[in-house]
Amino acid sequence: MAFFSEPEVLPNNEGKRNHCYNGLSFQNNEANRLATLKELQILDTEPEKEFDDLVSLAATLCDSPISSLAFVDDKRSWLKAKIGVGLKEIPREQSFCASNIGKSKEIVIVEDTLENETFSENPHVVNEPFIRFFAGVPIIINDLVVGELCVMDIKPKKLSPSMENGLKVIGRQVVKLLELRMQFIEAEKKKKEYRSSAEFLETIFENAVDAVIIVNEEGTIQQWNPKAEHIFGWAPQEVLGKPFLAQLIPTKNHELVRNEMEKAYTNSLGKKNHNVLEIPAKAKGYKNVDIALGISPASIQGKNFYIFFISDITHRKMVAKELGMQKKFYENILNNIPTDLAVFDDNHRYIFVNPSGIKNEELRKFIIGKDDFEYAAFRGWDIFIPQNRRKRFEELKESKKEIVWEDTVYVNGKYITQLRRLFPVYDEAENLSMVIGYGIDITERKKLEEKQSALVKQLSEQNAQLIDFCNIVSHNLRAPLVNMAMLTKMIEEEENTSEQKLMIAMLNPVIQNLHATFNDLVETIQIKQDLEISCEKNLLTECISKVLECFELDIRKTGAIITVSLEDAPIIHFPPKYLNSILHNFISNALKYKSPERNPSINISTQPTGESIILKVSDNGLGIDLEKHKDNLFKIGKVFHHHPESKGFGLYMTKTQVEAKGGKIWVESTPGKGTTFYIEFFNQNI
Amino acid sequence: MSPIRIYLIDDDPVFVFLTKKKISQTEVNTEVEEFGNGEIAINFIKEIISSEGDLPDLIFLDLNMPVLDGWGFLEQFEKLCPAAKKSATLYVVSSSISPHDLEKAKTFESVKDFIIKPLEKEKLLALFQSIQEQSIKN
Repeated sequence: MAFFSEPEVLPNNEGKRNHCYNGLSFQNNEANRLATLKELQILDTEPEKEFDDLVSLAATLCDSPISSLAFVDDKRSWLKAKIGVGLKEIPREQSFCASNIGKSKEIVIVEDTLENETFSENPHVVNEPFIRFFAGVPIIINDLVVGELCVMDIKPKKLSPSMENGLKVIGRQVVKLLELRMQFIEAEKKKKEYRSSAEFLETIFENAVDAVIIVNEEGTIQQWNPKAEHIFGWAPQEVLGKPFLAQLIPTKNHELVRNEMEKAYTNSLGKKNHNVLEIPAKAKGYKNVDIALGISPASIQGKNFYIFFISDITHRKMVAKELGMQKKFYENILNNIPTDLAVFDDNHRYIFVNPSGIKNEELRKFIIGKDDFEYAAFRGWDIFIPQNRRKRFEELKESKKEIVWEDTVYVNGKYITQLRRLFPVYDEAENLSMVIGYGIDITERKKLEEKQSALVKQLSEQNAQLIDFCNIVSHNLRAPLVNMAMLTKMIEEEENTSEQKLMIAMLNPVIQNLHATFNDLVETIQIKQDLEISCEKNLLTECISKVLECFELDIRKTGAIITVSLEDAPIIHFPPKYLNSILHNFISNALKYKSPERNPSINISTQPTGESIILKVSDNGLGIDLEKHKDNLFKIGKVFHHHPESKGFGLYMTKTQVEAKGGKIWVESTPGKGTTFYIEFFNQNI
Repeated sequence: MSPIRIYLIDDDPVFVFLTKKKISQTEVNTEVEEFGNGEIAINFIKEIISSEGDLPDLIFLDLNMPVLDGWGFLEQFEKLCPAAKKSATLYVVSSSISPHDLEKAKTFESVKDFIIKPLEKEKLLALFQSIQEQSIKN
C-alpha cells in the first residue's frame, strides 16, 4: 500500500497520523482538516436538536449568556448551534473559535480579553457585543481540530475546575455525536456502493452475450438470464428449480457434463483451466441446439454453485459444416482434375500442388515453400527446366498478364509436351499475392496434331494428284475422242473414196491410243485403291529375266547390253505385280529414249542400307534436263522426249506404285549422257 | 491478197491432218507450217526474229506436248514478243476442258482466246475474216 500512500488524504485512516505543527506540515494538515470537515457533511446544514441541547448545556454550566458550536473551514467559522449570537458565521480572522485552530488541542480560557494579546484587538471585543470572557474546547475528529465549542461573556470571569471539566465533557459529547454521524455517513456510502455493484452484476447477467445459468450444488437451476431464454426458449419461471442436466442435456452427455462440473472444482483450486464442451442440447419444443458450454465454480455465502456459460454454436456448426463441405468440394476438384495445378507465392515458391502435378504425396509436401531450382536439383532435372520456368515467371511479373506457352520436357524416358499457363492474382492493393500455374499434358494432342498435319499434307498431295488426273483425263482421253469424232464426220462428208479410205485407216491407231490410255488410267486408279496389296518375297533375278523376255525383240534390234549385280541384296519384299511393272517401265524407258549415237547399256543393281534396299537402274540414253523438268518428272501426262508412244504415264505410275508401299523414288540425269533412277524399298529386314 | 500465214503447233498427227483439211475446205488463201512440239516452234520463231523475218498471222498452239509443252512455249514466246516486229494472233487450241487450263491461259497476254478442240470450219472462217479485216485496216 506504500505505493499509493499519502495517508493524510485518505480520510478513513483513523487516528494513525503523525501530527506536526511546524510550518512545513501545516499546509498538509490544513488540507486534511478541511477534508475531514467535508466528510462530516455538517457545514451549512440545518440546526440539530442534539447540538443545540449541548450548546445550551454549556451556557448553563458556565453561567454565560453566549455559547456556540463552530466549525472552521478555510474562510469562516460556521455556527452549527448557538445561544446569544445572531450571526450564522464569522470571518475566520475575526473568529475566537478559529484563533486556536492549528495551534493547540487543549481547552483555551481567556478570563479577560482586554488582558490578552490575541483577543484585545478583536472587533467583537473592541465593539459590540464587547466580549470580555472566552473559553473554547477544540472538537477533535481523527486527531484533527475541525471546530470549537465556546462559551463567552461580556464581563471577565473565572471558570471553576468543575465548570472547566464539565465543558470538556460536553466537548467530548459533541465529538461522540460527530463520530456517530461519521459512521452513519460511512454506512450509507457502503450501502450505496453495494447497491451499485449489485446493479452492475445484474446488468452483466441480464445482458451477457452468453447464456449464464447458475446451478446449485444439488444441480438445480437457480438463475437463468435472458440469453438463456433466447437460446433454449424457456422463460425463467419454466426452468428455475428444475434439474439442469435433465432439462438441457441429452442423457448420453450427462456423464460428460458431470465430470466437467467436478473438474471445475478441482481445477479451481489450482489453475483456472476452463474446458469448453461442444455438445448438442435440448431446447423448448423438442428442438436441438449445438452449444459450447463452460463451467465456473462460485462460492456464495458459504454455498457452492456452478455458473454455466453457454453460447449457441448451431450456426457456427452449420457454417463449419458448410465450410468443410466446400473445402471437400474444392479439394475433390483440385485433386481430381487431370490438370497439373500449382500455386506460387510472389517469389515463385510453391504454396500448393495438386496430385496431378506431383503424384507422390511426400514430394508434394516436400515442395511447399521451395522453388523449381530446389525441386529440379532434388529430382535430378536439367537446370534449364527451372531456368526456363523462372524466365516465364519474371515475364509474368513484368507484363502483369497471364502467359501461356508450350513446354516439352524429357521425363521418365519420354518427351512430354505440356501447355503451361501462369495466371497472376492481385490483392486489393494490387500487389501480386499469388500466381496460379496450370499444366495440361498435350503430348497426345500434339501427336494427333502431327498426324493431322501429315494427313492434311497427304490429302493435299492427293488432291493435287486428282487435279493432275483430271487434266490427264481431259487431255489424253478427250484428244483421241475429238479426233475420232472429227474423222468420222469427215469420212461421212468425203466424196472421194480414196480419201475416205485414208481417213478410215487413220481411225485405227486413234482407237488403239484411246484403248491404251484408258487401260493405263484404270491401272493407276487401281494402284490407288488397292492399298491392301500384300508384299511378297521376290527373287530379283527371276523378275528381271521375265521382264527382259518382253523386250527381247527391242534388245536385239537396238543391240542393248544389260548388266545386273544383285549379290548384295538378291531379294526384295514388294507386291510382285508392282515390282514387275516398275522394272518394265525402267527398261522400256531406257530402250525408248536411247541415244542415237550409241547402243543402249542398262545396269541394274541393288544395295542394302540399314533396313532398306536401294534399287538402281542406270542407262546411257538421252538423259533428262532436270533443271527444266525436275518438278514435272513424276507427274502424270508429262512427256520429255518426242516419241510416238509417249503418253506420260510410265513414271507417274512407277512413283505411285513405289509410294503405295511406302517407298521412295528419285533420279539423277545428265542430258546426252544418261539417267539413273533410284528406288528405296523400306522395311526389308523381315 | 497475200495468203494468211498459220503456225500449227501440235504433236498429234491425226489432229494436224484433220485441221489442215478443214483449213483447205474454207477455200481461204493460207500457208500452214506444222511444228511437232513447242521447242521446235520456239526455235523457229527465234530464228525468224534474229533474221528479221515476219511472224505468222495466226498461231494455233496445243498445250499437251512432249519436250516443250504449250505453257513452256508461251513463257518463252512472251519474252520474245516485244522483239517481234509484228505480233501474231495466238490461239490456244486444246482438247482440254479443264477450267484450270482455261484460267491459266488467260494469264498470258499473248493468248487471244482458248479454243476447245475440234476446230470447226465456221470458227476458222470467222478467224480468217477478222485477220483479213485487220490487215486491210493496216
